[in-house]
Amino acid sequence: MQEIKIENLIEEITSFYDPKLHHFVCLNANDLGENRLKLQWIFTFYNQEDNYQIFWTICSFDEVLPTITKIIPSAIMSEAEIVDLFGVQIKDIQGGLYLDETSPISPLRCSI
Amino acid sequence: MKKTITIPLGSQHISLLEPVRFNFSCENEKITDVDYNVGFVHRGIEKACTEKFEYKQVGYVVARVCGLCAITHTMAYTLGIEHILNIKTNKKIDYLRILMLELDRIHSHLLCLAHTAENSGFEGMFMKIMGDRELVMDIQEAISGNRVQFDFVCIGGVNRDISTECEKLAFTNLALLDKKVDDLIGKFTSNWSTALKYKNIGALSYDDAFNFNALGPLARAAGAAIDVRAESSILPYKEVGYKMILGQNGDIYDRNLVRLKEIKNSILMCQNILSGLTEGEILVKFKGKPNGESFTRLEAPRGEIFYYLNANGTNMLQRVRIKTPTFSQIPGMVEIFKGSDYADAPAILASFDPCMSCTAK
Repeated sequence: MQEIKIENLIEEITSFYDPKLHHFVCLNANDLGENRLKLQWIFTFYNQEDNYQIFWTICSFDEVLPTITKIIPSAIMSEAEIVDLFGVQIKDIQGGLYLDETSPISPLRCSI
Repeated sequence: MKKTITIPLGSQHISLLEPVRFNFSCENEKITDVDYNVGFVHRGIEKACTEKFEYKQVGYVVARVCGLCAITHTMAYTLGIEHILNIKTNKKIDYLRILMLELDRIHSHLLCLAHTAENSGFEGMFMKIMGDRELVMDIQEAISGNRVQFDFVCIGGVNRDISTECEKLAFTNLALLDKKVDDLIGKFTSNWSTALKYKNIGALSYDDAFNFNALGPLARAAGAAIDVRAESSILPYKEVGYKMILGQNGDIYDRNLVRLKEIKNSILMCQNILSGLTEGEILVKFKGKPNGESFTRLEAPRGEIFYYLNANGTNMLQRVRIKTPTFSQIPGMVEIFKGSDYADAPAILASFDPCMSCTAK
């Protein structure tokens, strides 16, 4: 596991990620309470047994996070999901993919 | 200037009985752009797993994420919680678990092939494959006592041992199914409706399989060696005869063929397991409450599923994160649609074998 600063996210992922070597599993969010959110970008290595690379950071819900979809297009699903379920703000990522206007707001956010 | 028209497919469409909507922007017959909506059935299962159910019940709750890969969801959760609780299972339990996972893969692949045949207008083939699928459903029912929601796996082991009668039934049905799959391989390589007209249709290139994080048969049909069974030591797949099946062109034809060959390999694995099953306990006793986190991957019929669990030493989990195969493959699917004929869209969609129940969980 590698702790990163959110402002260095794009730089870290760009220097690490090679689509032929690394598989992006998903972006995971975990509400720690008191306006703190733990984010984990989870990768594995193709053709290697049980080998994970996890970048993690703790940020606040008020921050606007960068998107990694320019580097990994399929990350849009994970990012749109945490926008809907946690109320996280991610640059250029719209909510509404999973929930609609009648759904509970940010249902997985425990500190609301 | 060409006129662009928008044609919706779904949220209810005869080609796919799943609530998903694609809006295709078309110029004449060609799809130029695709918009999608997958959020019609969000059920809040992740939230329920942390607020309504204790960790010992969660394995049965996550089985309800999907009716087709129910056993894979329970298995991934169970392996994750066993990792946190430091439970070591014996070989017999591991083999019984692989047996049920591979039976699940067989019936899921057969369902996808049946839908592909139906979308090509070959209704008779759809009925035939669904009939053949009963052979494997009967084995699952005999082993687990249930037909769809098996609830076979539990923390520390499995809920039922396999009887001599079950073993006999499984051997008979698997041998019968093996012959029927040979016949289907013939149909899916030589018949115009189910095979030849789908060559070079809905193709995903080798490079795009990696660029779009493709998984499961979608990736393997494009020649990308992506399979969690080959990358995880959590279950002893190498001991039971697992073999990676790869295609070349990544089109509908190859996807169908990869699924059929994977069924053959799964049948072989099941036969090997049944031949080598030894006496032994089916449940390991454990004490304590989970405290820690785990990351678990398994190869479901459609590709990788992933479970993240976070526990704090109480009966309630803090976080259950479920990532399903279809969830991350949608951008890849969209890419395949672009440039295809609209008339091929239903068949392409069926060949993805998408599961919206999983995606929206």
